[in-house]
Amino acid sequence: MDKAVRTFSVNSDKVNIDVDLALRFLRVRKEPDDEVKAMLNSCLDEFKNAVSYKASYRYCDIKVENDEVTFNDSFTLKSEKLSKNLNKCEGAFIFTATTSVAVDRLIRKYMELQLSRAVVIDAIGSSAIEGFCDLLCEHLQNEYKVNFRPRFSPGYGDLSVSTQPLILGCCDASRKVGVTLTHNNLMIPSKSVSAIAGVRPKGEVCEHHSRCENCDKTNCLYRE
Amino acid sequence: MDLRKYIKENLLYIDGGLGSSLIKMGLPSGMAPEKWNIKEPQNIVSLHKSYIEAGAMVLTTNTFGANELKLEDDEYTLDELIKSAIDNAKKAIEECGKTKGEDVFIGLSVGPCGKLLKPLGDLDFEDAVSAFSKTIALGEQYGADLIIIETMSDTYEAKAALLAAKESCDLPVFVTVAYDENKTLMTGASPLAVIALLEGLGADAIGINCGLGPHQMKEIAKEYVKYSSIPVIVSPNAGMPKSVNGKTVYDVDATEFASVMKEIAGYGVHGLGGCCGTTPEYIKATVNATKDIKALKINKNTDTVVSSYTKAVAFTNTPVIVGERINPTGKKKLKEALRENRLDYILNEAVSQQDKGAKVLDINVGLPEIDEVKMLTDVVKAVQAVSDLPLQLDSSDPVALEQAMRIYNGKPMINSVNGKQSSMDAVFPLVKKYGGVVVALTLDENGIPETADERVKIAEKIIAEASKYGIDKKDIVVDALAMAVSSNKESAKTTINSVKMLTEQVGVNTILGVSNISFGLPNREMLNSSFLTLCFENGLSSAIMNPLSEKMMEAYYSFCALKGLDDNFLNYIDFASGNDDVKTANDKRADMTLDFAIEKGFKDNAYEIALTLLKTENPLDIINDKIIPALNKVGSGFEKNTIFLPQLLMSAEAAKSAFDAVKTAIVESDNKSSDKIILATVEGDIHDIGKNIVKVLLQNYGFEVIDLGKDVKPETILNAVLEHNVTLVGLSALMTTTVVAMEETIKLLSVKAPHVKTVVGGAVLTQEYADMIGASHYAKDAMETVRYAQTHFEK
Repeated sequence: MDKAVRTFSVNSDKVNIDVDLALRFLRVRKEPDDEVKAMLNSCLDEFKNAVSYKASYRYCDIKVENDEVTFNDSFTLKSEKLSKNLNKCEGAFIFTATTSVAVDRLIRKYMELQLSRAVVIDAIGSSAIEGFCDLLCEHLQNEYKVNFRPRFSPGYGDLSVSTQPLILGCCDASRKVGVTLTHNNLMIPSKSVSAIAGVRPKGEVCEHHSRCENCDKTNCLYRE
Repeated sequence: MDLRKYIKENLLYIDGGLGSSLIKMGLPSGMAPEKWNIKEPQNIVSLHKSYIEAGAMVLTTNTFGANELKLEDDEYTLDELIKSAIDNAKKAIEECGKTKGEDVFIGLSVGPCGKLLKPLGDLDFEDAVSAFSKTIALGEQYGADLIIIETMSDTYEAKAALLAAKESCDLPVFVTVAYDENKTLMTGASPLAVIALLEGLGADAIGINCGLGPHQMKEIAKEYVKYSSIPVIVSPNAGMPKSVNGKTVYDVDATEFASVMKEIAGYGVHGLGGCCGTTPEYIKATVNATKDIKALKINKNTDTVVSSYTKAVAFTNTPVIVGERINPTGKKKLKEALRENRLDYILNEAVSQQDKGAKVLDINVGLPEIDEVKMLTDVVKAVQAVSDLPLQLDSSDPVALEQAMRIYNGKPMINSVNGKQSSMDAVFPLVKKYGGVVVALTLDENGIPETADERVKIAEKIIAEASKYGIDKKDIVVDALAMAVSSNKESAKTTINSVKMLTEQVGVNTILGVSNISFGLPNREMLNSSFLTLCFENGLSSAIMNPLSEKMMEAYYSFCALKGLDDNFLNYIDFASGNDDVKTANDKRADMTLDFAIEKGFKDNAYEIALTLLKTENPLDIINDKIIPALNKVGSGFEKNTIFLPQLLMSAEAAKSAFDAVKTAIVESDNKSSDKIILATVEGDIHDIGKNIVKVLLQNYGFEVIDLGKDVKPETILNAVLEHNVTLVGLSALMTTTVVAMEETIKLLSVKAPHVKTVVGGAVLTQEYADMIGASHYAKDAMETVRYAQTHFEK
């Protein structure tokens, strides 16, 4: 496979926003009241109007040795968990996906004017970017006729966020989709995800687990 | 050769892709291309030579990422990278037997710095200016002939780079930006908004590069030629990348590229080049395809345009409403808000005016007792974070104007200049440097003339003086001054005649603060709205007025509908039917109680009901018997997991609006001094939503919150503790990596202010973590912080 950086974008209506997931981020553990539902719906409308989904990605040949993974012979990430996730894989897609700055602007606006809306739109954004990543991975798997291992992001397990410059750099995220890093390696726009999706070796059976089942942080507030 | 003049009259060929060509030549994946200036100079020289041989007259140096904010390691200094890049270009020109500055020009490539500017990102505007200045000053020092700011995807960063170029060198500056398929920049700006900004700041040529192939750039190129008055550059990618036999190729070949570039040159584009995927072959084909074409004459665009970071507002046939409400003159509440530095009041004014149809917002914060320079920039930044309307910066203090114009993201309106020489001497240099559309008042050293003829003469004098600075008539909007008709019955006629003459004879746009006309008379809106219609009919381009006034907006929408300015009457119908909705919705809420409104989170009703209650009840009784119990009910529901965060916040907002209503009736002396708490999101962390939730709830429970914001240094927190004599500090962190900064803050406080207690919270924190870093208390949610604060201050 060639190793050019490519981009992927879809219209707002193509992305499925899992409202239950958004409610989980808000720690709402029962059927919301009518007032909350009404606000949720109006926030969803406003979000869908503002959002612009974009991703950049690149295929990399990988070498997994001990607890290190080398990408395209150009950079190496040290992480036991990632090595385990990519064990036996020969290639992986690195991608950065974002909901774009308009969503950050919306959250920031309501942070000043009506915090309840900011909080709800923030949760919708977190859910929506997951939905977009699912769509992107589906697209890549179809396009390149591959199957992915569960995607893995900096900040999970022992893969430090200090690896972000390498990961975003690899898919030219700042130039292609406008995702930049702060001095502390946090992504802006804030509703963005960078990840590595290992290509399953041919013939490997794909066991379906939910995202939470794949994660070993069992005391997470948002766990299903 | 004068490059500025050349590109105005001729086609100028710029080279093509550099980074993509270097990768083909074997640049190791992951290595910064700039390092090859020193490691493999022969490769860079040979690529430059190929472009010269292909016919390029401008070489773009291999310095796209040479920026102090982007340098990844200390293998080479910025100085070394830039000097070697320019030396390589010089060598190529020499080896081709050409003359630098005559046949071939060296353009210092300045790419984005890789960081997003505040308020979206964490890079300060002035830090960006300073970083770009260093690169550009080195470029000029080592012999660049021009500056090429390219692939910008954010207007604010483009402004920082262009301002840096203008302040640190005298070279010509070309600026090109990158659009996506939606024809906007990554941060949302439309082509017209970008053109207005860059032209205003004095770029010598502007245009588009990267992001798209030549086909997709055609429509944007047309817009650039149509709306700009300076040369336009187009440098597309070689289409989109695709994979052939495992190799990356671009889907537009040199022949196809050249034929589209020929078409684009036919629109009136003067600068032709290439970006990612293009090679010397593409430039050669483009030169061959266009060498017999004569560059079209550049048309001066005469539209008056102001812009924000996304939107442009053009003064065309439809009158422009400028919202007047952010101006303390005669507004008690706004004065108080300014004195108490309560920006939320101002932000609400901004958003409600936008919702009601304002297209530009006037921002005036002049009060004798406040620091206007600081306040104006603070308010401009804050308003730009919540509203995407262009702003009219309104001040009589040139220093305040300059600071605000500098940090404003877009091309602002400026209010105002007048016919006095001193005023023009102070304001025009600023307009020349930063760009803008300036309101010109028709008064001078002799005051306000009585006749329309004399007012028009002053306008002409101002326009003539402006042209000495190179400021075009389109960037002046004349205010012929509405004076009270009650003191002179001819005054409305004089103003209307002035507007008519200015429109028809002088051909300049006009503006009026219309409400002055009714000063001293009853039912002012009645007179104002008729006056507005008369002025519009005589050519008035824009009105500074209150968009929240229904009568005024009725006059505006009716005028537009009757004059054929409102296609299918969409705006008229929207306005007319919108009002009915509000009335019926309000009727339904007649029997609601205050505690019900708070529990359900009905903010507007809570305010109205509290106001009604004030007629019969004591303010403190309303607080103690109605608001607090409702709040407690919701709070304890949250603690018992029967009510959740969104509902809790909606109730908190409703309670706050009820408090605001009650406060109008409480005399100052009734306010007991409240307990103070400092809140901050620690250094390195930019996630402040959790901290803001805690803030709202603490305020609800009567605590005074000193909010230090996000990414706050330990020393800043300590200083605030000492300055405000505070005993409780709340710290928030979202990431494991930033908990370290939280620990440092707690350590510093325990040494320098041992009496202070700390309460910590945030997604990654746990009781164990909090104990480990020495926090006094761990709060798992916002309500627990409230409870802890209550116990803390009872002691």
